[in-house]
Amino acid sequence: MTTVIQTERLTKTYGIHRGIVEVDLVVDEGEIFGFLGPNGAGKTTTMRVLLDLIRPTSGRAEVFGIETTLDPVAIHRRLGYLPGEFDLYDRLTGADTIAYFANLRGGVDAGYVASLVERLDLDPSRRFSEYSKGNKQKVGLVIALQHRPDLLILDEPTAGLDPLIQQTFFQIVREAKAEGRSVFLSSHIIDEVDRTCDRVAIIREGRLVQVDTIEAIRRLAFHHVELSFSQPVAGAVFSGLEGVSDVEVDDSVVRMRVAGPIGGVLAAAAPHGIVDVVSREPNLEDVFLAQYGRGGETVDAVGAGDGR
Amino acid sequence: MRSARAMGADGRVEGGLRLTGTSPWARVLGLGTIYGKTLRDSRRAILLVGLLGGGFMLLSAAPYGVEFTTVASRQALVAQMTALPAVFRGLLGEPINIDTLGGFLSWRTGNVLPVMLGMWSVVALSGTLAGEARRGSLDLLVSTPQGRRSIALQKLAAHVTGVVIAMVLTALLTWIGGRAFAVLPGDDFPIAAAAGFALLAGLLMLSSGSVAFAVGPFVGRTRALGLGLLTLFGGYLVSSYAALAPQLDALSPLSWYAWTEHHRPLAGVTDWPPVALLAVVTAVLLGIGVVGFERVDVGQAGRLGWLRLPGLPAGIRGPFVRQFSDRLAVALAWGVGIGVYGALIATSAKQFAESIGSLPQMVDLIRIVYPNIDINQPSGLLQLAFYAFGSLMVGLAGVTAVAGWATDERNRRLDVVLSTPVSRAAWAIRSGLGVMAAIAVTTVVLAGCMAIGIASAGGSIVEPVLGSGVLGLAAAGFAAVGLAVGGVVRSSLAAPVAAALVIGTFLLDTLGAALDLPQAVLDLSIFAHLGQPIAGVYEPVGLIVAGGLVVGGVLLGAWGMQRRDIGE
Repeated sequence: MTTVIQTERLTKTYGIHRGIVEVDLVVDEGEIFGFLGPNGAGKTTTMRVLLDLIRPTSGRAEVFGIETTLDPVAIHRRLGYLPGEFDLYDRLTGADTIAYFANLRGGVDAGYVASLVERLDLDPSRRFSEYSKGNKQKVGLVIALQHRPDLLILDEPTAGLDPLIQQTFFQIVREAKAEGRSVFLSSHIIDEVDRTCDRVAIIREGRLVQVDTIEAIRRLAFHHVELSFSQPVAGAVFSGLEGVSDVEVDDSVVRMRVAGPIGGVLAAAAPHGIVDVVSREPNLEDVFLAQYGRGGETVDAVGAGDGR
Repeated sequence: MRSARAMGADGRVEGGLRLTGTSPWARVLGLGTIYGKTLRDSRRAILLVGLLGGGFMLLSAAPYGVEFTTVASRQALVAQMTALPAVFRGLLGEPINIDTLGGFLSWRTGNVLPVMLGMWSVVALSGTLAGEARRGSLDLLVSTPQGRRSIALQKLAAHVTGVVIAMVLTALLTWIGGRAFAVLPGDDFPIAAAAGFALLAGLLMLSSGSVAFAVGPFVGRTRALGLGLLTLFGGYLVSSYAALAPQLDALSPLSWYAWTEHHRPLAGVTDWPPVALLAVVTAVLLGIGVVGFERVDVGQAGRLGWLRLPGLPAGIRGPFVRQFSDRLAVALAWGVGIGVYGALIATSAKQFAESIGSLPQMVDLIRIVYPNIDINQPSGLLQLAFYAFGSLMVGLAGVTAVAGWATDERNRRLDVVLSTPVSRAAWAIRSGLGVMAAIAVTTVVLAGCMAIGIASAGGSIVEPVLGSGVLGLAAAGFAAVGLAVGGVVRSSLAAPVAAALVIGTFLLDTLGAALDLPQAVLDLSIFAHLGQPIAGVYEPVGLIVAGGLVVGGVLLGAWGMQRRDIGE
């Protein structure tokens, strides 16, 4: 499989401030790659390095096999980018703005642009300064998508969009994948990332802490386990078991988080007259929140590895 | 700590938590009130304005105290200056008691100071509310338990406080200059005189700012800025050259510089009623601004359709056209504004020639000082009366174009543009040329207006038109230096650097000789090497240097843009 993005020990600092630290990342052709992290974690910095808007302090980044600092124009010919924060030309209408960026690319398929405008429910006749935040975002999306780029780099693409348009957007992203194109996006709509992305990376304080397929992350992450007994059971029965944490006892019900296989928990429960077992598979949001709310218990379980 | 839980009348909430008020430390840091925050945001500008104002006064005092140490030398100065017709006294105004240090300071530097420093007031008061609206922070401010009137008044009070602080600093430095360089009896003016001078200077600064503040809620920031600058520079020009042309004289009752021209406390002459009238007018204008802000929709200023300018080309073919198109409206406005001023002077050429012809000694003096200038021609008059201030104005037009160019990076438009197959260098060169094209438009419009003025008076239009081109070339050179700094260091520095060059050069040209600066320093001004171009006298060296600055600045900016991070 062809690699479209590859970074090696990519580091960017802003004076004394951290940007990203030794980020190793690989995004393959035809995949949708989600990039998750809280505000200030380094998502935008990573994307801006890939665009050659900022230069690495150390390490390197390649897009389409081209080092970003060597021939950014060749890279830009094949990608579409939506910044997390941007402003465009107040005096131009949405149509003018889209046409301007189409001109910078030497022309685009007007029919496809029209279809994007229609699907995103954008009124292109208004001045950019008169648009709401969501409509400005739609203009940015059309600009990024209009030339059917081989790679889309989208920083918080759903910010400001209403739920219906969010669905449309993710549909467009899935269509891009179906056409063999790649998408590298950051988002806080974790449910959608969960449903849409093939792989995700989680970045925390500038470092990648997890990179894997959604399925693998779920498999290796903790389960919420709830055991019901015929009589009260001490929490100590479970708290010492490997992979078990956050044991809570509520009369004859014991709740806990279990990382890895739950066989050991069931074996320990069996002698106490177990009545019912409920085990909920973690979703991506659980994983994400665990990384940020609980000190990253799963970091070691799923190493960032080579970024794949 | 704040809580969403129910709060009692004593400020306590359930559970014993208490809402804290603004801490004294937060107030010290300027985070306690809108007033404090605005003042905090202006602290550098306040200090800069105060030091600039006081510094120039101090620097002007030094050579006077050294060179004019006898009564005879001062009487000779008075005789020379009072004999000069208005066109030569020009922007310095009427020399009142210039045989004293205070009178000299008032005349040589004090008169022009409020115009230079007044730009701060115009920019600040046109943008203090509109800027918040543009950022979206005004909605947040208005959503707090602050009435709109309170918000406007606090913003206004902060700026007025800033002007007061800056003028106190100016008065102190002026007074220190008077103490340090007083030589003859009468030189040593009291601190009250310095305070009176600073009061008028501060009021003159605020008055143009108050025009911008008054119209801002109704016409938007850009037009308010334009109108404020029009009263700032236009009023001063009208006052300075009223004696030169009947058209300007007819306008002088509208100029508060003309109202207050006899109030010169440093010269021992006071005329308080016009100053009081100016204070009242300023207060009324500021009040209109406050009431206007209360009444218009938040963030909707400037949407008055009937005030919209005719549509200009969108300019979407590429970075050059896009940049040019975005700068075009302002460039046209500058061209018309400066051009009308030039045309007014040109139309008075005949009257000027007649009045000067009645003073044979003066004719001889002009022939000695300006051997290449024919004062019977409009081109000669324009060279004498328009060139210096015109160079400042065209230079500032270039600065505004550079400031607009810099917003592409500041507003993150550049991130999107540079994600297309346009290289950084290509963007820098093409957008830089867009800036140059905008300056060219200003120049062409200026030349056209002057040509019309000259045609109505009779005379050759070739030299003034070509001379306008030289002014434009110099302005483009200054702008290119800004572009170079913007490209190499960061774009937010581009306009301030270009503005510093333009204003610094103007001050060097107008005050340098009076400050007795060495010739090597005076020669740093590019205008010292451009000849008298409006009169048809050119110096190739200056033209080549200006052209070199344009080409070199744009290329250097492109080189720098390739090397640094974007948007940082």
